[in-house]
Amino acid sequence: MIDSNEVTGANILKGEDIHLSFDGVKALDGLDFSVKAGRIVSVIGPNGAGKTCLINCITGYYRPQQGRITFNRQDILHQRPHQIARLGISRTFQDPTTYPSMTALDILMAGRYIHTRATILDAMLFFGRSRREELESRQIVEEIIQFTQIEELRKVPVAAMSFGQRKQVEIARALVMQPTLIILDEPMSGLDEVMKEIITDLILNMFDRGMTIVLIEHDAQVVMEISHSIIVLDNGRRLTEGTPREISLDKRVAEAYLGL
Amino acid sequence: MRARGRRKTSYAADIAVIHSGRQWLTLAVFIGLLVVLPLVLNATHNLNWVTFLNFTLIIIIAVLGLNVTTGMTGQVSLGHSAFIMLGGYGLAMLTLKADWPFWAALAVSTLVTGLIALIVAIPAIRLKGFYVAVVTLAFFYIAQYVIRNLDITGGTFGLIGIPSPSIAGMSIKGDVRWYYLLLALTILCVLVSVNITRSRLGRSFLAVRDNDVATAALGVNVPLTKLRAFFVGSLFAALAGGLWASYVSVVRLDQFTIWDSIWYLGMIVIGGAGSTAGAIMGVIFLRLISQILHVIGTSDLIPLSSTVTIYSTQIIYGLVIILFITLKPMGMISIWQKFKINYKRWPFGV
Repeated sequence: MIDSNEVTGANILKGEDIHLSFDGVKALDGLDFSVKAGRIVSVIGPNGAGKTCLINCITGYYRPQQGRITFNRQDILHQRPHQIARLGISRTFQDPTTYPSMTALDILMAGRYIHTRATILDAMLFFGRSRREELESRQIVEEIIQFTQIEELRKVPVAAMSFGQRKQVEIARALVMQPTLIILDEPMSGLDEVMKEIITDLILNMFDRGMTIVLIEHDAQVVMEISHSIIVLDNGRRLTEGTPREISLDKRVAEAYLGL
Repeated sequence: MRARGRRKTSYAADIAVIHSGRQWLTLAVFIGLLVVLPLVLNATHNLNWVTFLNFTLIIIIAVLGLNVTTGMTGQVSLGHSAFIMLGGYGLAMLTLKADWPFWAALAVSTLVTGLIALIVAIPAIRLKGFYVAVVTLAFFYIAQYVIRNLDITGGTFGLIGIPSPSIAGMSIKGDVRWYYLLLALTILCVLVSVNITRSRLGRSFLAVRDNDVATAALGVNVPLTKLRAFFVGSLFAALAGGLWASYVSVVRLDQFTIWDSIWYLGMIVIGGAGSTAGAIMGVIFLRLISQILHVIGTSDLIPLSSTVTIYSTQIIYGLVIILFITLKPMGMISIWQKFKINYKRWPFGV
């Protein structure tokens, strides 16, 4: 277990009083949360607690009816997903089969989109800027390929990969964007123990590189092992927040999960 | 024993279109054959085959554009014929009514068609799948209606006497000269298309096709990317339309039909959507079949009445396409890719 007192930073991400409802059904009900820079923060909670809704609000996919979300003190509530990605927040998706016909290399190179500038004309001529950017991007993509250990998947289309490989590529895709904050939506679900260990190591390595990580995960063991702090959601509200030790001793958390 | 195929030692080598000396040689021989082809056909008095080749080249240019919009980006466009038509009419009007020189007229009519495509795409990009098809279908009929009812476009009679281009004082007249011009332009367009696929733009197109929701999280502005796809695709179409108009020296509404739009889609599907080589193969395959069936149907090889042979060739045409799509749903390009992988791995398992 990582001692949370070692790392203290300013809030990089902060949400206040977020209300989100769909046709009267409340998904998030006055949620407050904050994430400190350079930490691994996990969000847990029973199914339907609002975990994925929260990610979708942060990344601009859902627009809360009320509330405030700031990233680096900048209001991001009214920005669209591609604008938020450009600010340095990248996310993975629960279902990793996002681009079935593309190879890992295609996807990772596509992940360099925000760091390249080539125009339509540059692309058509593939000369000068377009070519130079391609080679620079490839260098960074190759580093991430090594970092995530997917060398043998470079030219394999996603449709031909195993579920675990798809999860690896999905994380690699988020990493080539070189974000300051990365949000992982259930990276362990559906994986065997070996793959879980690979992904866990990857997350710890990301933390070593100074990235801020928000982890949504059901696997309690992983969450307890690597998180600095845990936010527990229930019925669209923050039930409690604390270190893994505090959370594991909290009676309300057990109740929420068991539905008592 | 090491598997066949070439090891690449730099990223620059990996993104090159031509990888080895042998590939350069194959390409040179292939282009050499294409250059000699009309001379052979000319010598054997098969000039209508040169006409066939010229139309095939024009359609390849047009379909490369549809391959960008529909093949790469997944925006099913039924309006491709309309963009070809606008390119053709644009060139005709600028050269005949405004006395512009050919190349300036071709460039401007191509760009203006691109801008019109942007306007068409604005309602289409907010929609998905079939709705895009319906918007582009509606656009086709609107464009046809406008052209039919304007004086400057010659109404139902169209415009005749469209001038031919000239290069360095040499006027491009006759099928063989046209063939060389079209061949050169087609090669350029193929290169542009390949460049798009190996660039930032092409990958944003593919990502939008595969999953437009997730693509926003890459920092890609999805509606803008769809606009770009329509813009680039219509540039190819308009270029092809301008060349077509000048080649046959007339533009008339019945040259550009909705059926053509549908056949262009068929060519992409049969070739392998999203692939430049696939688009070319699809055009050549479908045009060859229809030409061969046409030759057989109009000859007296088959001792049946001509109506029977003409209808039966159409049935055969349809059957071939249905069989192809059922047996090779990933298109002709998948056959080639499979061959390439097996060749590289040889003699290790397949």
